[in-house]
Amino acid sequence: MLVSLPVLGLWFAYHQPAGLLIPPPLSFAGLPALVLKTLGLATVVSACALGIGSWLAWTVTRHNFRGRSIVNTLAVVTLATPSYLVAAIIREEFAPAGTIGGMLDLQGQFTGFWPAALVLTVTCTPYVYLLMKAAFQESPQAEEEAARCLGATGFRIFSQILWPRIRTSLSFALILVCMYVVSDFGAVAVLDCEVLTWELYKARGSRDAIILGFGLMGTVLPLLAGIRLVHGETRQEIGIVQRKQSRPRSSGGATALTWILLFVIAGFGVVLPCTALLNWLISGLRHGIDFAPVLRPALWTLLYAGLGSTFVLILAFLPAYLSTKMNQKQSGLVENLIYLTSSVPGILVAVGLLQLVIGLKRTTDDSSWMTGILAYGEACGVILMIGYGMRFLSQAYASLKPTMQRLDVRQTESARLLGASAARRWWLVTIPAMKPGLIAAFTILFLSIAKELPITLMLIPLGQTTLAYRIFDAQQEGALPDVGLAGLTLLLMALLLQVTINRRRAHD
Amino acid sequence: MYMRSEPKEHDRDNQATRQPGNDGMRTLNYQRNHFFVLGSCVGLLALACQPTPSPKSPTKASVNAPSKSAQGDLGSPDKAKTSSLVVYSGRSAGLMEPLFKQFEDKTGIEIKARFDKSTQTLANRIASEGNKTEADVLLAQDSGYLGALAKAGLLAKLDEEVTADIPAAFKDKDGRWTGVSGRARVLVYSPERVKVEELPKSLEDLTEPKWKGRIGWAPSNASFQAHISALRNVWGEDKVKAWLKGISANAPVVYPKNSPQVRAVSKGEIDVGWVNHYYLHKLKAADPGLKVANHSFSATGDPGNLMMVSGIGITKASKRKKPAQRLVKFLLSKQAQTYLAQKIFEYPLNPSVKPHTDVPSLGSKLANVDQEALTDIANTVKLLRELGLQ
Repeated sequence: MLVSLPVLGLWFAYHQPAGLLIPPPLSFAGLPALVLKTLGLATVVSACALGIGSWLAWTVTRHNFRGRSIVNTLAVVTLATPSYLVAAIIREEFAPAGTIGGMLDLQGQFTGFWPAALVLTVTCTPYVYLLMKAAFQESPQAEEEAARCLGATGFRIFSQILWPRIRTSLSFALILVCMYVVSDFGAVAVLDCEVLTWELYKARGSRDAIILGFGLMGTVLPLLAGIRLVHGETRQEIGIVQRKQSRPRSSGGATALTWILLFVIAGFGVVLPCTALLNWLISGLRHGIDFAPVLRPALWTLLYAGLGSTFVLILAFLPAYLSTKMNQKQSGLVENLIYLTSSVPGILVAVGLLQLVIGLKRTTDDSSWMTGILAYGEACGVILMIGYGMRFLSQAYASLKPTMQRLDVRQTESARLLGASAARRWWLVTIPAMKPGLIAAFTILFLSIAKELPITLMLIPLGQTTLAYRIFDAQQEGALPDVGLAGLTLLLMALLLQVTINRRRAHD
Repeated sequence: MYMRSEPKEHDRDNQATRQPGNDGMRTLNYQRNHFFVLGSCVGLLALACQPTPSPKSPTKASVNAPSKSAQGDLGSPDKAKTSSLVVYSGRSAGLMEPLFKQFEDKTGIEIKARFDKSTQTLANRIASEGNKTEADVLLAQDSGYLGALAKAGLLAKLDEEVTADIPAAFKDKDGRWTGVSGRARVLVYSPERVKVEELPKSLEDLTEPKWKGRIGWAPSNASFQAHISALRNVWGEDKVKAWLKGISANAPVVYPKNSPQVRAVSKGEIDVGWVNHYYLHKLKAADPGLKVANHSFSATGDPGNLMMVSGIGITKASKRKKPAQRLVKFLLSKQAQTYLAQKIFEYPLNPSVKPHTDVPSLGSKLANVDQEALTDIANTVKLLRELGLQ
């Protein structure tokens, strides 16, 4: 049902009266070129991210070398940095008179397709790393060792032993990265890369929105189908337990390549952003400029991230619980619906919901209860929460379902036998047992919502801004000191949360 | 299914049974913690939801006698914030928030602003929502969209005495919107890479082949579109089309807005950018080392020397017209106009306020263009799309 809301909104946008300010609509003729460009970007980014992420995962799981734990940590710390922040920094630093642009004697602005590909590769590689690391860890090294002892070449070991084990995870990573790139808004907006999401934002107030929205969903749905198909195969492989194997020392060349790739990812993803933001902040302080206030946006960020995470967890609770009680077919249907809802890109959710509110206002009476509800919904951030709910439902579901599956039924049964009511069993047995999973899910959602841009940009109530909003706004104005201050604040918040998530993951 | 069974002996040694008191305390603390968290969230949400008080149901404070302290011609501030305004602003938050704060401090009227880079989107939203719009005021980067809304009958009449001092060329002739500050269109250029004698004397000279790959522009920006609307009025459709094609042949670099162009010139991405005059001064204030300068076309009355005005209008649907009129009055007052001149480097429209010393007077070079000509945005966007520029 939730997925129908933005679709309805786009329908309203298309049928809005031909006003004085509505430019003529785009024709469908321009859509294939946009779709091709979007898919082209996704292809380039997935190829690069897969290559880098898989190599890093391979060396970390299969080899021993000095600094292995540093590689393991830095490969994922980039998850904390929002793509629009990396894009803003890379755009400035690679300009002809920027630090890196000056050194490399670059000409012209550093925007468009290839810079967007670089930024998205940096931000997507950690996802590939995590997936491939898990895949390599589950692949039994003993078989490879045995094959090596029997005289198999490296290629044969790879093609006959390793490849069948990892191909599903590789396919899953490929489609996941494609999905991420197609849905990305922040990086392509900052780098002015003409793909579907950026064009949709530019057309947000007009009829073109439905054409572009249609193109975007048409691109995303096959990827979603691919994810669901591949994910089902991946699940069957999970659960293979292998004993810890000793890792051979890595060759010099392999180690060097690992460090170079890590330098690229962590360098562009964390080190350069921190350095550049600090530099802009100091420059602003030195020139005595008036910074835009950052305390209120920081508080609004914390508030909406907290509320949003809570809301999304509550929303995902029932489907996650029911899917553990249903048979496989029913559970699969619930999952497909959930993933379909969250597959709608953030910008499409935002544009659709906004147009829905405007359209309903236009078509309802002044005195109707609907007008009042819409006004309060907008003012209190209910529409914003619905947007977050749609976007992050699958993330919450994916975190809650394993937690619920691990619940020990015997504990609740014991409590029932001892006379506890259903409410008491939930409150005193089930919820405490779920607490670690709930906290982990809350933390992941909190980080995702704090960094979220398009939905926040378009649906946040009047008079409020978040750090993400402030960064995007300041970058568009060229107010780099403000980008520095707001960016450092958000990065600090995100890094702390990411470290917490990584620690919990390692603990689990 | 589980069989009922007697509790085993060793269960009695279970910590839970050994210290029932602690268990109860742990449960109580657990419940307290969760209620505290939930309560905090609800409290924060309640703070976040501050619906605008309806003007039909005045709060207690508003019926009290006004404060005795003299606050000039904006009226005395109420001790509590008794009213609020919803402002749709096509001007950035960084620019307007300090002014809004000054207004709030002076009058006690709270401003709730929706900022959007695109005045077009905001104006479309007002047009779309019609009489259900929540917006009381539209602050536009350019008068084009204000004019279009006024033509559609969506703006209310402003107090005549408030806008009396504003020159007629910079306000609506029917009094439905007024300019707030002037923004001159200029070429920003790099003195290191472009000699003064090389600079174009007229806007038309930008089509010369020597500018290939050296120009920046922002076709999706409201100021650009307003300027093209003015050119269509002055030159005619055919000449504008030919000129745009000529510029396109020079492979201009496209930017989303004006300020990136100024930085681009200083960074060597481009040699000249077609922007509004004040961006240079704003960025130079933050970075005195910026090596850029502004250039106005030397040909007298060249349409490249256009003065556009940022403006303000009150929506017809607004139920808070009185506070809205006070905002208009404030933005045209000496205090706000001085801020716009000294901090933002724009041309003040209040004749009693002088521009910043760094901002030159355009005098006779200024193009003679009716601000009404800037209102035909829809056809301008249509033209830009036809030419593939948008």
